[in-house]
Amino acid sequence: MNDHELDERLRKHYGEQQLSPHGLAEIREIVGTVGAVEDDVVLADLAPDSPPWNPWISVAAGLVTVAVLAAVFIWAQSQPGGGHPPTAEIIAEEIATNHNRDMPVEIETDAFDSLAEKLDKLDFRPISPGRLDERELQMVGGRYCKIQGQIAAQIKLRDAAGRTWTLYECRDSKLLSGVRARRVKTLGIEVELWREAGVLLGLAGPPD
Amino acid sequence: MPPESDELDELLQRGFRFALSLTHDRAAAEDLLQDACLGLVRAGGPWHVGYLFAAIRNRFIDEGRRAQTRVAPQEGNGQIDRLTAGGSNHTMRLAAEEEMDAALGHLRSEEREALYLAAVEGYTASEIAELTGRPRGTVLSLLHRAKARLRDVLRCKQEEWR
Repeated sequence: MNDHELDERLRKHYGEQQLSPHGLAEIREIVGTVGAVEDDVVLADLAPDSPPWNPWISVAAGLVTVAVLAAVFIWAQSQPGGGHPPTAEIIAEEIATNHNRDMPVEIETDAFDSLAEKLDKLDFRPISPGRLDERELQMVGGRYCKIQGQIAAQIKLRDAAGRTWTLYECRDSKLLSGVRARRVKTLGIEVELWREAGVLLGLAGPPD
Repeated sequence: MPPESDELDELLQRGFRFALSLTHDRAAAEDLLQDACLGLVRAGGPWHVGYLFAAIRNRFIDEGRRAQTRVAPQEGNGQIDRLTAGGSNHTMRLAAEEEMDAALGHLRSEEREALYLAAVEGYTASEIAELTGRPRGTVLSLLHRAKARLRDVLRCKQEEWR
């Protein structure tokens, strides 16, 4: 058994391990409620030493908080991309994570036209970039996915050595305006980002 | 802030698999993940896979590796009889899973951890070195030894089961 086969068996073995529904529910509850519970405990502990409660102080504090939050929100919205547009590194990490997950394709096809017809919920038409031919990559199929919450196409490819590559395509948008065309190495994967015909593309594969 | 529901579930499942690679015991892995999440909630995050893995790892070490079981495979539990009773693809798949689970039980927790991070999460040796605080060279030799050992155990299991 070579390294690749051994890795494949490990991926399959661990990929099938799931946290039990009961365990998942318990941890979700911890994540969702512990902060609130701790706040209550802290407030209760402080109560005996606190000054007498004055409702007007609470109202004034609430109004000041709302005003500050509104000012921050308006300022953030006035910034390009709404304040914190994702960078190439953030997108590359999201793409590399999805690539490592190696999800099965929903539509098996080796033709972009056929894929574009079947992925009809996309708000753009997937394109066939020239870089795939340069790397001699063959399409295996595709599925829907999301990048930064935006609908996208996830296209699985194979190279001549049988290695898996994944191409991500989504409509370029204001949200993604901060993503520069570049190559990023993350999570053991090389991700190349670029734009063509109003589409943001990300190609994930083994590092050179 | 914790991530939204689907993202949180995905993060928790990854955390569980990583914890399982350390403990090789489902119940211990769930406890470890729960403790790590509690720690992250108290610290206010951040809810990023790297921080979750580090939190899980730190708790595993803090517990004095009590959860490290190196369990000898439970071959008397009837599963093997069921597996060898039929010859279907389903049975063979179950047999392969059982075989891998049993073989992983023969490895040390740090060997399973390195294999998991490299093969499943796709981390490079440098990234594993950063997460585990070991020199890159040590990680590489750990991976090499772990793979050799896993192959040996799998080979023995296959011969035993024939």
